[in-house]
Amino acid sequence: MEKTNQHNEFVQLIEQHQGIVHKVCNMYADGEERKDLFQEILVQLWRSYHSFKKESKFTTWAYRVALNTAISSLRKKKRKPESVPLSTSQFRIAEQPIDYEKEERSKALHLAIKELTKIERGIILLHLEGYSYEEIGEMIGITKNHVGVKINRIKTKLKKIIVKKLA
Amino acid sequence: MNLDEFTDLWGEYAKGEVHKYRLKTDEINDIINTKAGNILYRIRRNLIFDLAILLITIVLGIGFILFIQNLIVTLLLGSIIIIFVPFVVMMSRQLIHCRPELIEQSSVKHWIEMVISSTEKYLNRYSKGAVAATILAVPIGAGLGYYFGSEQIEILQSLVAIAQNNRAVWLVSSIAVAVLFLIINYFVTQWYLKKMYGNYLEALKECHNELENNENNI
Repeated sequence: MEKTNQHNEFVQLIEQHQGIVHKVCNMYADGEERKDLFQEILVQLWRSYHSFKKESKFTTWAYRVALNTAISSLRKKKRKPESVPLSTSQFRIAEQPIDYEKEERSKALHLAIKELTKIERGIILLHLEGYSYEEIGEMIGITKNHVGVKINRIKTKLKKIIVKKLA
Repeated sequence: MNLDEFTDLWGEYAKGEVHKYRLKTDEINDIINTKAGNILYRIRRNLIFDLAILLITIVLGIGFILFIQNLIVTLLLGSIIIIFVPFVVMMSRQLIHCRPELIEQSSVKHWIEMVISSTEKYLNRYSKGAVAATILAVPIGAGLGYYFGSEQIEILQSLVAIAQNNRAVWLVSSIAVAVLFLIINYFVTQWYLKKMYGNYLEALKECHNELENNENNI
C-alpha cells in the first residue's frame, strides 16, 4: 500500500516537474539518444526516490540525479548525424506572430551550448535555471568561487560562438 | 548579443522543448517499469550474474568430486575451485564497493570518481578472469577429455599413441597451442573491453580533469 502511494506520489511529481528531465536531455542528447537518456534518467529518479529525504527541494534533488546520470551515461556511438535543433516556430502556438530574429538567436544558443563540454553544460544549465553559485558548487563538487569563474568563462565562450553563428 | 538575454532565450526555448516532449501518466508509468539504470547498476547486475555462475560451478564441482571419487578428477576440479575462490572474494568486495544508489547524494565530481573507479576495477577483474579461464581451460579440458574419452574414442586413442611415441613434440605443440590460444584470447578481450568502455572511460576522465583543473587554476 505504501509502495503504491509512493509510486503515485512520484508519478505526480514527475508529471509536474518533467521539464527538468527534458532540459537535461536537451543539453546532453539528440534524436534517438535523447529518448534513451530520458528513460535512463527517469528510471534512475524512480530507483532513488525511496531515499529522497525531502530535506532538499524535489527539483534540486532531481537536477542532481539527472545531471549525474546524463554525464556518466554509457551510450552507443551515434550512427545518424546530429539532428537539427527545433526552431521555436515548431512549437509556438499558431496565432502568435513569429519573431524570426529571436528564433535565430534561440537556435544559435542551442547550437552554442552543444559545443560546450559536459561539465560546462551542466553548470550553465543550473545557472540558467536560477541556482546560486553555492548550490551549483555543491551539485558539481567545486567551490562557489570556481563556479563564478567558470560561468564567466562559459558566457564568454558562448558569446563568441553565438556571434560567429549569427554572422 | 547581450549576455543577459541568455536566460530569457533559454527559458523560451526550454519551454517549447518541454511542451513538445511532455509525457502523460501512462507513458511515465511504462518507463519507470523498465530495467534501465545508471552504469553502476549494470556493472552490479553483471557482477551478480558472474558471481552466481562461479558459485554454481564451485558447488557442482564439489558435488562431482564427491560423486566420482577419482584422484584425477579431484585434482582437476579441485584446482578450478581453488582458482575460483579469490575471484569470488574479489567480486564480493567489488559488489560492496559498487553503490549505484549513491548517485543522489554525490556531487558530479564525486560521482564521476566513483564510476571511473568501479568501472576500472570491473574491467581489471574481467581481463584477469579471461586470462585465468584461458590458462585453466587448456590443461583441464585436455585432462578431462583424456580421462572421459580415451577409452571410448578411437581418435583420442590415436592421439594418446602419438603422445606416447613422441613426447617432446607433443609437449611443445601442446604448449604452443595453449600459448597461441592465450595470446589471441588476451588481445580479443582487450580489444572488446576498449571498444565497449575505452572511449567512455576517457570521456569521464576528461570531465574529471576539467573539474580538477578548475580547482588548480584558480
